[in-house]
Amino acid sequence: MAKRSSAKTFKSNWRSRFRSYLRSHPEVARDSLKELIGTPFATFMTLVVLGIAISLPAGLQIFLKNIEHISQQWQGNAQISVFFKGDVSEQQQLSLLHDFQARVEFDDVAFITAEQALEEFKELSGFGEALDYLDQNPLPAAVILKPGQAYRSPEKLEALAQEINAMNAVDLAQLDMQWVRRLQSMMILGGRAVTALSLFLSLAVLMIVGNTIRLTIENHREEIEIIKLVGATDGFVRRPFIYSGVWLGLLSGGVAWVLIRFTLGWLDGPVRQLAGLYGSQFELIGLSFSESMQLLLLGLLLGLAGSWLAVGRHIRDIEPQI
Amino acid sequence: MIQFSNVSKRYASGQEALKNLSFSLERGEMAFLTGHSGAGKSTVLKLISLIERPTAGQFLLSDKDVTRLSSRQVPYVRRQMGVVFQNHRLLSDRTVFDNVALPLSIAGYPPKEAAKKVRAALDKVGLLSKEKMRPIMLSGGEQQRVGIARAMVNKPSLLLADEPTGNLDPDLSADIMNLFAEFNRVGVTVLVASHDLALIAKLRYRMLTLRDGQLVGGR
Ligand SMILES: Nc1ncnc2c1ncn2[C@@H]1O[C@H](COP(=O)(O)OP(=O)(O)OP(=O)(O)O)[C@@H](O)[C@H]1O
Ligand SMILES: [Mg+2]
Repeated sequence: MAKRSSAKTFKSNWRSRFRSYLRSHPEVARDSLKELIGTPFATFMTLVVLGIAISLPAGLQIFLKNIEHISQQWQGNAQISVFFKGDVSEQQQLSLLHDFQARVEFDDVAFITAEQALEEFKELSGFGEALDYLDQNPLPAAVILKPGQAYRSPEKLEALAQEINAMNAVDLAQLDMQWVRRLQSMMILGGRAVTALSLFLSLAVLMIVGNTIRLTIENHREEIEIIKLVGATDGFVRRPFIYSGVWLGLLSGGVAWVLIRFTLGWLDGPVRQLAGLYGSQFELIGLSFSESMQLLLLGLLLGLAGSWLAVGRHIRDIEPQI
Repeated sequence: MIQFSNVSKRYASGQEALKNLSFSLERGEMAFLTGHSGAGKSTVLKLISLIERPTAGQFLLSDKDVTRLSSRQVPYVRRQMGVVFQNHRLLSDRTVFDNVALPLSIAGYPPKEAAKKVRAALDKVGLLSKEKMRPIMLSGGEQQRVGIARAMVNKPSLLLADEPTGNLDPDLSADIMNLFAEFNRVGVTVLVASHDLALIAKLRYRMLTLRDGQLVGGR
């Protein structure tokens, strides 16, 4: 046969063939998209399933992000209560108060006298009358320190509290950090759960894309046999199916984006209302541009991987018969 | 061009389709492969087109041992031969033109160059006027000729045909065989499997007769 001459033409034409190989990619991509559009109902159903599977972890990620945002706002309420030792004179207390006021760390410094503390306690505790029987005020005077924006991280707050605790005149500098710590560990837990869920759902997307592509391959069995018979490489046969998977992934990323936007829009009103009740201006954080792109990229990559899995397994198995 | 040495083929089912088959076909030769149903004609063609692999023996294609060719190489060898099937095996959702263009687009020909070759091949089989039709709109004989145009469009040096006239009336069958003879006259090696003995007898070409997977007669 013309083995020799054809080998020669293969070499001399290598460049032009490679170029036409590259040129054929947009064409194949277009044809694959057309084929998906050609079966609108099936494609739509697949895209909705995939879109939901992708939007769930992405949506939870956004939920976590919002919680984190809220917790940062709450840290604005962080305060350190400083109680003086019993034998500290009023003079000394006032001088310390001025020291605190002079420091940049604190936005607000409030002095609460022992009498004020007792009044407040009576009001809040409901032990009002019982306390009247005490012949001595058991409560110490206190200073409430509100750290500025830059000093509200748990580490900085704790460092401040420690420093103040070490002062001679100070009996106790108390920082109520428990809830911040709890929230933080809950966030870590939530983050892990979302990560695990994301992995499972990504796996589901991979399987769904793989299965869809497998069915598509099955529907094209005859065609695959024919083009293999006239000399198509496995790579050539694979290409349109890979593109189908990529399109499915990319489009379902888009569906997920729409679902998330829609849900956030729906929640926005009630969230504002709720925040208003707490006297907060909190607003839901949505998807940023780069997060939107990541969502599409995630869809695309899952589609690519899913179709690779299907194609690798099934195209090799289809051998032409005559 | 083709050289079989003691080739045996046993299918996975255990069926022994070919037993120790040896024959060769010279470059530029044309021959018919005949025999009863189940004699192994299709099996010979499947081995040559690398659809099946021999279980024993050795087989050369243009002096190259392809007995154990890696499957990655198979497509490139297939591009150098044209195969015509009894049931045409055309793509029903593509035009006649696209069907014939298939081997060229697979081999990566630029569209313009490909179009020229496709039209030349369609002209040769007398179907130039039907290039925009779908195979389903054509008669059986016309579909077969589309299949032949597809097999020949890349100017292969080897043409294989399995029962190419199986479903055709005698006149159409003779036309098809004449087409093969024409290709042979310009140097193409042709091997046609057929049990249409009446037709084959009229054409004076070499005949390889199989019986139960063995060669019983050659002329
Ligand atoms: N894919 C296969 N798997 C198992 N056995 C097969 C397969 N293909 C063919 N055979 C067997 O191998 C033998 C030869 O078959 P082959 O198709 O080569 O015969 P043939 O000469 O082409 O017959 P026909 O004239 O009916 O087409 C037959 O007994 C057949 O049953
Ligand atoms: Mg047969």
